[in-house]
Amino acid sequence: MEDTIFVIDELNVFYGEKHALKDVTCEIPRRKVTAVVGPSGCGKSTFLRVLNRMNDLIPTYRHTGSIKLLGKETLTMDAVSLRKQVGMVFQKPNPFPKTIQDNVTYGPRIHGVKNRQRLKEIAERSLKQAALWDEVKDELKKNALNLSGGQQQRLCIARALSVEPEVLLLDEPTSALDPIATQKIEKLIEELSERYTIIIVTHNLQQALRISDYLMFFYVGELVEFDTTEKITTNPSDPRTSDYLRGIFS
Amino acid sequence: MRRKRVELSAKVLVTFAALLTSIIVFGIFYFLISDGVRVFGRVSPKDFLFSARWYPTYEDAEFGILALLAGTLSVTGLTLVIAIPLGFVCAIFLAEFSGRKSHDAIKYIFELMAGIPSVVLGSFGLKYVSRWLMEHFPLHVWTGLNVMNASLMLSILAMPYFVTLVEDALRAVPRDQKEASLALGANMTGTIFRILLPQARSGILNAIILGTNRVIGETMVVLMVAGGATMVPSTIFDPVRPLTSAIAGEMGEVELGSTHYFALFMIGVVLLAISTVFTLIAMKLKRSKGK
Ligand SMILES: Nc1ncnc2c1ncn2[C@@H]1O[C@H](COP(=O)(O)OP(=O)(O)OP(=O)(O)O)[C@@H](O)[C@H]1O
Ligand SMILES: [Mg+2]
Repeated sequence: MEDTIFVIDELNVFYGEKHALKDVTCEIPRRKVTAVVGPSGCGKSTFLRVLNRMNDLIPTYRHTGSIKLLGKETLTMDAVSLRKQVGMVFQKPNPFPKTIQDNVTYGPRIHGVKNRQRLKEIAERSLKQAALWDEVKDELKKNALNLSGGQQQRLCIARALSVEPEVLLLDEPTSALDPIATQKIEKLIEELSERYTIIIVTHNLQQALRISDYLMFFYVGELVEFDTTEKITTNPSDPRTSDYLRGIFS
Repeated sequence: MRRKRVELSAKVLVTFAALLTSIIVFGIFYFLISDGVRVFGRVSPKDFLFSARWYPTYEDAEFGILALLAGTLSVTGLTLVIAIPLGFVCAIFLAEFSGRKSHDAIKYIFELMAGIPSVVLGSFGLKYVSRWLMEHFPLHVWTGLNVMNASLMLSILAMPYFVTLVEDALRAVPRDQKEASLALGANMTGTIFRILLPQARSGILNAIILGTNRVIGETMVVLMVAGGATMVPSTIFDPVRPLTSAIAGEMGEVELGSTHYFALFMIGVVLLAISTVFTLIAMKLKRSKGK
């Protein structure tokens, strides 16, 4: 199916004894913005980090079930090629303490791009896509840590885009930012959804409603509801969802 | 009111302790240097530093420490060549690849290693390593007590220390840096070489400097297994007499107030100077890491 990026079937995730995700089955649409919401500790980050196998680093972590990315099973494929297709942006901006240019060429270089002209082009394209180019084009050789928090986060988005992924995972990308920087990133996410599949975890329900096409609602490890944002906000089918939307638990 | 008084007396006590410590340290510096410089009444600084002839008990006594210095440098250098690569491999394994059990087991072994008294290590080198060297390199080795033997023993001494410091430096790199690299599709090796090691650089340099400092100052091991010959070594199997072992070996028999006596103190000053320079560099690195 052209319109589906991830097909997830009976996914169960454990940290040691802790059953963190329970029987998650769903299909995530391609080139749309899907927002993942739910109370704290319900498994949102866990879900996101299963999609690019970031959790493989945790010794107690286990999973069962299947996640197919464009038809290919991800849970058994090579983590390197999976992560090349499924980029990630973290909650706290975490640029490398290198120049802006080196930040956005790190990915391509580890994947074997050596030509300097080509690297320059990639840097420019990624920074333009992340709406950062105009602000930094004259100081590409400056250390990325000198940028503001919001600029750093857009640099991290540019860095993720530099390897031309299919999917961009964002885990509360604006929670460390001020309202104006947040607004810029929300606008950016909308633009990016034309070319990329975006899956974003957010604690800010208003934000989820503003930017998402689809909404996933998790509750204590269960995927309670998954539908278009419009359908869920106007007519939720589970009482827990409507409680959450009314702000009964946060 | 009462609390204030307690606070005040604590302050006085701490100030006093700090003062006393500084007085003792500077006192040591002062006596060492004031005795040491008196050697220059009879030997020129140039001969002292740049002559390799150390014949302190001859009729026509000579006091050139170049050979001793060469002994210290060769033993220290070879120790670093052995211990740094090995130490890196161990530290990287401990910080990034070991499971909890293997991590604890290896740490335990290093702790045991760190607890070996240097005189025991010296005895081991004297009895077993020297024989082993004689048997396995018969063409090169004319005495089992030599630079190689000393460096092997000193590596055992330095490794636990070095590995711990490098592991700490690697662990001090924020986790999100490693995740950022992996999330871009880098493998673990690439992440270690491109992200972790560069970001741990100052901690690693610090580990190398502190480790070197420790190796230079170590006395018992080199006294026992370096061979004791006052010569500039031409191979790693030559015997040498490092600065520390000259002091330790000769101080007991020297006549108070003789030129030899002052020369030994001057060697102490040289050692102190080397160690001070290293410590200052390490402190500077630590400060720049804080930025
Ligand atoms: N490394 C881990 N080891 C053990 N348990 C974990 C680990 N990481 C998460 N958990 C547990 O799994 C559950 C889901 O955690 P997760 O971080 O996915 O929640 P979340 O929805 O992202 O929460 P938040 O909104 O606070 O970020 C929680 O109960 C958490 O305690
Ligand atoms: Mg989370």
